[in-house]
Amino acid sequence: MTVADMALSVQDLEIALVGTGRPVPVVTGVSLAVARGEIVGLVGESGSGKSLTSLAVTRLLDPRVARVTAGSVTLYGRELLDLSEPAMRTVRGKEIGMIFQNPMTSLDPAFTAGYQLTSVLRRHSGLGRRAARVRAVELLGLVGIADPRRRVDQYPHQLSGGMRQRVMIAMAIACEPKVLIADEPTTALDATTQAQILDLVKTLAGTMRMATIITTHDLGVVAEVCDRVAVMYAGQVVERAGTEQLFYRPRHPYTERLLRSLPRVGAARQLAGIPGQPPRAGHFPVGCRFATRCGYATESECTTAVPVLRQLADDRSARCVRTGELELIGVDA
Amino acid sequence: MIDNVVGPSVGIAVPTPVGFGGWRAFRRHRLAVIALAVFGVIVLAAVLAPVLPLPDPNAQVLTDRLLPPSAGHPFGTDELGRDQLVRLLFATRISLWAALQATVVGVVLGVPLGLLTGTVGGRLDGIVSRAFDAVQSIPALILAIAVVAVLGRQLTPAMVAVGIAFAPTFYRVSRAAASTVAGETYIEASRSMGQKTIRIVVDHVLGSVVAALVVVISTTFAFGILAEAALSYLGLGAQPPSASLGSMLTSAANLLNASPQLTVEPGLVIVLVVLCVSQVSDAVQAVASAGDGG
Repeated sequence: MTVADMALSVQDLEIALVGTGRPVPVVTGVSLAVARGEIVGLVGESGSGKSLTSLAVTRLLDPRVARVTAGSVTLYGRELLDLSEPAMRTVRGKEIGMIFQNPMTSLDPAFTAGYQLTSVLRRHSGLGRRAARVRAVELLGLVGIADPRRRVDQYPHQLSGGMRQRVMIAMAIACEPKVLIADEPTTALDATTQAQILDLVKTLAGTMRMATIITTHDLGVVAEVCDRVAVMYAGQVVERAGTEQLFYRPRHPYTERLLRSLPRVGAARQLAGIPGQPPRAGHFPVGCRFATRCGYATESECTTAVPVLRQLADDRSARCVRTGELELIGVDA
Repeated sequence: MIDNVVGPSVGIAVPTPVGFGGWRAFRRHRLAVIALAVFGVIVLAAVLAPVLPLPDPNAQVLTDRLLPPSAGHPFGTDELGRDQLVRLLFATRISLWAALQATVVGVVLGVPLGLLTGTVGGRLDGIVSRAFDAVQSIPALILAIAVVAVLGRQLTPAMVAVGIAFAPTFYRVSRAAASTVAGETYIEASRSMGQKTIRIVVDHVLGSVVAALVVVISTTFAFGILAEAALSYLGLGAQPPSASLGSMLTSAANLLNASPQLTVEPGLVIVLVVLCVSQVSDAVQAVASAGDGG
């Protein structure tokens, strides 16, 4: 598939934190593409740049804090980074829907669920007050809220966390966007609700044929819903692969270590952590950013040259100079 | 009286927003409901005074001077034989109007700027906030007296000056509420749905600042009544033959021995209005901080 066929394509995205002094690049060379109806997971630990990336796509970065310094983001071939702010506003909500991490704070406590939902509908679809309300009830039903007619007039504090996240999802999909970005959609929810919300996102992405990006630090989430995965480390995508391939045959040492740190039911072994800390933004090492924590790193290759995201077989890629010579172990089948 | 009127001092507590169910919670404060009703009757009487079948408040009947209360003149007559009740109605009208002018000026100057800088922050916030700090250091009545000294004895410019001195309170309250709300995730969520910044501010920020504002507005209004009374008592406000509550007090003060009720009546109206307004404002604050929006 070429880039133009992709619903959403991010190419060599670079984001720098601005503040006092010189801008500090924190995300560099992030490339990923999502096709229609496909769910791509963006995985990484805290501070790896996954949330910055998802905010950059919708251009919601606070310009006083972070700016996109290079790269391109295209929606069906249309460059988003060059759009004017008013044009971008019609893209947000209408063509790209977004779900946030914490449903407790993503809804305004002063307004009913219905009010907040209809204001999105009225903003983008030009529906009248009545029609918007009817649609709002429909949407609440669609995201699996029981008794939507009653719930539509309730305030966020009358809804449970899971229901609030469903309302957020209803708002995100209200205008049938082409792209859905879910930034840690289940992190703040308990395990049972997590599974239900993931199921819902998966179903909606399928039926509405949305290109979906889910950012998460939870490989369990990835395994459950994602078709493909991009693993981020220290502001870079270090590996891209189909979900199964990634889990069974990782091609980057960081991915391998991540998989080994997953808890397994019934496994008697101790959990393997990754020694050390990820490098801080602005203090990235010269060569491979994972080299200092990588068991396979060699003095000659890994700490001198900056590795590129190399295309491998099976439509996957990895940012490791030694990936060809290493036998990395995934999860057992 | 002057010493008391230094401006409204409302603690800047950003309350949780009141939903549309707020009225039900308000109704539980029975005293406030009564106060609201009394205030409503006073306002209605004052507003309707010119169209009610009443005698001319400025018509002098010199044979009927300083009459005690009677069936024909329920509140008696003043030193020029004018009906005290009718004059009181028209005086209340002028006083309420004056307090409203000061409040509106305060709101118009303070609220939009407060919402803006609270939302945007940064350097603009610093500059505007310091400017309002400077304004706050000017006492309301001193500013009003200075304006009267320049423009002559007129009530409206004096009350506008009072309003300017009140503006920092409105600015502070709206700025504090806006900056709290601006950091909330639901603002970001709202932006992610393509909502315009101005729409977000109006919807979410104003929505949550409205309870705090009702409290400040009512407190300021009460202070406006007192400021007008003080100015007119000093002869700097309403000019004869029209009367305000303050100027009625001045002329009645000389007749304290002959007709004490002439002093008591406008005084009571002032107390009543201010009490009612502050009762209502207290109840609104209680409802707002209880924060059961449903």
